[in-house]
This record gives sequence, structure tokens and C-alpha cells, in this order.
Amino acid sequence: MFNIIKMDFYRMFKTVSFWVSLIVAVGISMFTSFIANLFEMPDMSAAYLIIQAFSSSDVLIICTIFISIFVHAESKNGFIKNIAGQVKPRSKLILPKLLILISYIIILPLVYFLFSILTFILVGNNIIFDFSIDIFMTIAVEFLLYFAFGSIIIMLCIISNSSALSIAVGIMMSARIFSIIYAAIDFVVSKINPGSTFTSFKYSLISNMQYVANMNDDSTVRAIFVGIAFAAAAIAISVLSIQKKDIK
Amino acid sequence: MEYLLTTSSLTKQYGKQLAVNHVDMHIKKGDIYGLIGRNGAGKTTILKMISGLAKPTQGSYSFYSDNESLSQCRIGTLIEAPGVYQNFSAKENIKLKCIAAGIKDKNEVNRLIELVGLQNAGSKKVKKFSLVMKQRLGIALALVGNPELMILDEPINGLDPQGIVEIRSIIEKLNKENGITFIISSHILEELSKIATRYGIIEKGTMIKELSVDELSNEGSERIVLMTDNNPKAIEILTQMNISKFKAVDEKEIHIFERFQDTGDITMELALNGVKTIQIYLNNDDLENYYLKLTGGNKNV
Repeated sequence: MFNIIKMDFYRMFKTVSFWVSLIVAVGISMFTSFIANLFEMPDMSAAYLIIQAFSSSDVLIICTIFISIFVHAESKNGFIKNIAGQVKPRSKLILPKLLILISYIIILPLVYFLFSILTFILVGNNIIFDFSIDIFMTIAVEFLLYFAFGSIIIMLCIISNSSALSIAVGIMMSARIFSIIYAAIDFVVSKINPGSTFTSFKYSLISNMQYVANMNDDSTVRAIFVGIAFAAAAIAISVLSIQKKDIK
Repeated sequence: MEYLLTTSSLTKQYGKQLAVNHVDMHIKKGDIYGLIGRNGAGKTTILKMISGLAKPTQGSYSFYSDNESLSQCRIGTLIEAPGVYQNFSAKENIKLKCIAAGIKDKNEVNRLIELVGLQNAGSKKVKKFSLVMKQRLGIALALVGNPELMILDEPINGLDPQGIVEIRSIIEKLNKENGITFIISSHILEELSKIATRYGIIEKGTMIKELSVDELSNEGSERIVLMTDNNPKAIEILTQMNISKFKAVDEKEIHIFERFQDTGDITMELALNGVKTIQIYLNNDDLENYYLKLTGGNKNV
């Protein structure tokens, strides 16, 4: 198991898409920071910037694309045939992917954040490092939601044996296109139970990323449960799928 | 007899389709086992099950009668196309497998690269490799961890004659010098017959025959076909000539399984004893003909 983890990390740092994704993140971070500089206050909060890095849909889309390419590459190139027979149970192949995901969702927002700071400094802004326990808590919950999001991307790659579905779904989630579905669910619920105040949107990963970014205490607890539920379900489905399916 | 690998009633069903049907295979240590069958016969599915890439619907397999999971890491596989990252070099691909196998010897990558003759292309990206170079790399990947058993699925498919010779010589070398046992599936029966020591013939998911090269020979693949006007008399004469390995197929035809160089002597002896030879010829049936006879198929294996 430890060897497979080492192998996946070796592969991640050797993969061109890893470095390209970071360069794209740097470019977007610097560009948006430069544009924001034209409209915002000369004093910029570092806490605000790091929370922005975690809740930005650009970062989510980059994460979606890299994780999809990375996870799917193993079966697309057939390299999995070299190792899958020797790893028992085969579900052990999931853990290294989750560790890659964790590493990536630390590195990517951090790079985005650092280059944001750098851009603001370069254009003459004053950065206020206003971190507090609450900010770290918010970052931790955002991280959990990010992990759940990435777990869904991994799950889609594994069950569909393709990167197309995971990229499409990931981008649609990031672009909040699924809000139409939530509205439809709410409409059906209100028809069944006219007095209901149920809002399905509150239980989606992306909406919780936004709620948590606004640092609302009520939403934080709910976001933790939503994050854990989505991550647990996605990992369970991935494990069952890789265990049951034959390697093609 | 102690076998390196045996399968017992190995079965694979996809929906209603029975891809592999209760297959029993017996592979001895040191064998080059040729798995023969037409497209869709179930060869790849069998190899995938033995490699741990597909789960049998029914039946089992074992190595040295041990627990299969203990021995799985001693198998090297090259199933269908080589599983390699196209944007990585040959060395990087092998290094990945070495890391996964827990091999710490830094010389292992170079040793394997040299073993398969890729020393001049080790740092080249795999996407620039020719088909035979990719096959060589696939074999190198299968060799990571010093396997006792190598499973190669159609390793010479699509290769040019030079490539076929190269891959064959690598297999022979590994079998003779490293004592590696091979299971090889191939459509190209003529090539397979040059290296295989045992055969398993698969038809519609069922193992219809397992036999060694000697048994193939004894099955009567090579024989003198003799037709005379007086077979009882001809049999007497053959016995007098100390020919014992023969079979009277019918009233007109006798098959002789020895002294293949002596057709002239046989004809002369028959003539001297008043037996007229209607026809005599050496029938050198090869593996392909034997396969076709057994399966009742056409030449499109």
C-alpha cells in the first residue's frame, strides 16, 4: 500500500498536467487579483484572499480537470494492468488517489493564494495578515468540502472509466448549473408539502462552500455534515466499484 | 505431479454469455505454454483471471497449491497492449512499477532496460516508440520483481517479421537463462510452435485439449501415408522391416509414424513382394493443421 502511495506521488510530480494546472492557477490568480486591485480598497485582507482561493470556481474547475486526468490516466494508458493484480484487496488503490487529492487541494489553493498576495503587493496594496481561529476553522471546513468535491470527481472517473463525465459534472457543479436541479427538487417538495421550508440547495457542496466563506456559524455545522456525507458516499461507491469491476 | 499453476473449473460469465467454461489448465515449471484459440475463444479472459485482473465467476487457480494471494506478486503480465504512460520515458515507466513493487535497487531499471534491449531508448518518451519497442517495454515491466511466471497475451500481434524474431529470442532467453515459465496466447501458430513446449487448445471458452510437443508428435501429426492394392500383405512386409509404429486406417490406407526418410525402401520392399504401391507420401501436419482438425475450424484461427 505504502509503495502504491509512493508511486502515485512520483507520478504526480512527473506529470505535465500537474505543473500546467499550477501555472494556469498562477495566471488566473494574478489576473483576477490585478483586476480586483482596480476596484478594491488599498488594504487587502490575507484571510479574505485565502478563503477566496478555496471558494473560487476557477480553482474548483482546475482541480476537477487535474484530478480527472490523473485518476483516469492509469486505466486509459493501461498501467493499472501492471499493478492491479498484485494489490489485494483492489480497493487499496483508492487510498493513494485520496492522498493525492488531499495534497493537491492543499497545494492548489495555496499557490493561488500566494500569487494573489504577490500580485497585490506588486501593484502597491497593503496586505493585512488578519488570521484568527475562526479563519482557520473556516479554511478547515472549506478544505473538507473541497475534499468531498474531489472524492466525487474520483468516484465518477472510476465508475465511468472515463474522464469526460467527471470533467463535465465537475465543471457544471463549479458553474452552479445544478442549481436548476435543486430548484426543481424544491418545487416538487413544495407541491407535495405546501407548508415546507425545505431548500435542497442548502445541502449541496458548492452552496456550502459559499455559505462557509460568508462565515455563518449555522452554516458551518451543516457544511461539516454535508462534506462528510458526500465524501463518505463517494469513497464507498469508489471502493465498491473498483473492487467489483474487472480491469480492462 | 507438482505444477507451477493449475486452474480448476475456471469459469467466467458476462451476463448470459459464458466466456470461459470450466477450464482446467496445468502448467509445469519451465514450460512455455501456448494457449491457442480463435478470436473470442476466451484466451484473454483466462489470462486476465490468472493475472488477478478479472474475477472468476466460478472455479479457482493456485500456484504450487499455495494460497493464490501469496504468489500473485510472482506473476508478470503483458495482457493485450503494454500498459505504459505515453508521456513518460521507458525508464520512468519501469521506475513506477519498481516503486509499486517495493524494489529499492537503483540498478534494477537499467538492468531491465538492457535485458530487453532498450538501452539506447531508455530516456525516450514512449509515444515515440515503435510497436516492437513498446512490446519490449511491456516485457520489461512484466519482469519487474523477478516473476516466476510470465503471462503474455498476443505478444507478437502486429509485429513485423524482425520484431517477431526479436520477441521470440527474448522469451527463449528468459526461459532458458532465468528459468521463467511462460503462458503465451497467440494467433500465429507457426511462431508459437517454434518455442512452445506445451499447448492448451481453447474453443468457445472450453479447454478441448492440453498436450506437450511430444504428445503432439505422438498424436500422429507427422506420418507416412501409404496406400496399396493389398494392405494385409503390406502390413506383413512392414512388420518384417521392423516397422512397428503404424496404424491401418481403413482397407486402403496405412499410416506409418517412424522412419520418415525410408519411403523409397518401403516402396521397393513392397514391390519386391508383389504389393503395388498406389500412393505414398510424407504428411507433415503442423500445429495449425492439428488445431484445425481438433476444432473442425477453418484456417482463420
